[in-house]
Amino acid sequence: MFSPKFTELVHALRCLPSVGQKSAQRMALHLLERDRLGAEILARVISQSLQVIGRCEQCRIFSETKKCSVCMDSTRNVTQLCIVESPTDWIAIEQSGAYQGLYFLLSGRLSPLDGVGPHEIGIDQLMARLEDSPVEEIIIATSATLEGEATTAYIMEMLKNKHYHITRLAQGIPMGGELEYLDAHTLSLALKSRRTIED
Amino acid sequence: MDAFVLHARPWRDTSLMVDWLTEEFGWITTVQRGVRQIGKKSPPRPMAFHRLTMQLAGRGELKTATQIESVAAPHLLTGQALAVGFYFNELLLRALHRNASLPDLFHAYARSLEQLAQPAVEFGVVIRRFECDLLIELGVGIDWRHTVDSGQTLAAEQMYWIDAQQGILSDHPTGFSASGRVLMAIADHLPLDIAADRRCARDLMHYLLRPHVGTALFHSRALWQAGLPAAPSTLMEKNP
Ligand SMILES: [Zn+2]
Repeated sequence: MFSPKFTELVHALRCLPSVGQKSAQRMALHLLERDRLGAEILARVISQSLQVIGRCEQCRIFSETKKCSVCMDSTRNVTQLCIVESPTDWIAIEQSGAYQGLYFLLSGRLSPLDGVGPHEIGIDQLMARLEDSPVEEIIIATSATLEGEATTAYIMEMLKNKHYHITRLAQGIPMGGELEYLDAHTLSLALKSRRTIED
Repeated sequence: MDAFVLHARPWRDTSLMVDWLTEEFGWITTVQRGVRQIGKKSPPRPMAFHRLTMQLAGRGELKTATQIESVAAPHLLTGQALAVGFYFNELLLRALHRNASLPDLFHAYARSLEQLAQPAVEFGVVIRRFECDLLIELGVGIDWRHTVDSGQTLAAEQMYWIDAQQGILSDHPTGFSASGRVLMAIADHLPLDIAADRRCARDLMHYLLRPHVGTALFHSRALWQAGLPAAPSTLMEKNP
């Protein structure tokens, strides 16, 4: 359009999720026209982040130090390990405040039809993490999808006979969910994982 | 029409590209717009291994499935049954061509999923049977009970040769060799007790399917091949 660099900028902005040609153009114009300082800060922070943010060598979450703040926190329960499939799931569980153990981050979930296998999601790194560790309980927190189910099944198979107490997140009725609006799959899962009412 | 979801992959920002196995048109692909929106109330994503009915809407190449409803209670495939289900889907997407009516294969697929959802399933039997059904559908099914060169009924302890084009041969060694015991078990959908026989049956089906599905690895197989301890269970096909 105006200049080759502008076109390049628009194209670069499109790497962001949910940003199409139009939004990218709007963003580029905004940065150039109204917020050049903001643009400079953005550019600097992005390039610095790329330099300093790596992965925690123990749990694989993003970290600026060899070990992340959760793994370094001596108040966390080192006998519990929660396996998640994305950083957003990690954040969601951490923000729930209901968990005090450590994490392990997989790079996604098994999806054979997309060519994503155990190696691609880092199962071997998980096994290495567990070696000589004080972990006793493993909480598998994969998504409630078929791929999440396949991932769970695979991990369970790999951990068979290893004497960990393995649990997974309960699946079923969401808070505020009315039975008649639930799909058959969710409802049958909820029935399957029903529990005894204790008094 | 009756349909199963074979695979769904993200398409554009909020949509899905869905591959279906339908009774009427075989393998078809639709676009489901807006089903991946976060935070908004979006229509549920259709789930694989779940018998559904749907209508095709839209003009032109990219149709959309509408009025998606479940026909029966969903099969909850878990563990190895789920991996085998993925294998069936991978197999179909590699072997089939789009828009060819395959009612028999559709029913064979539905039957196989039902079998996989049973508590004590002989995975090897279910897999070999579905592979045989697929070969028939591809027009290359073979007579599993007789030799083509001499017209004999098979004998359990005799060795035979299987040629992908011709079928089972008693003489003229070409192609793949297997015992009558293995071939008869495949014909009658029976389990094989000896591990070597199970491997032979598996390799034979791969040999017959190879021209139609190619030589690339099946990713779903990796899900039950790596690191499995030698459990005594006969329910598990060790190398399906
Ligand atoms: Zn960490």
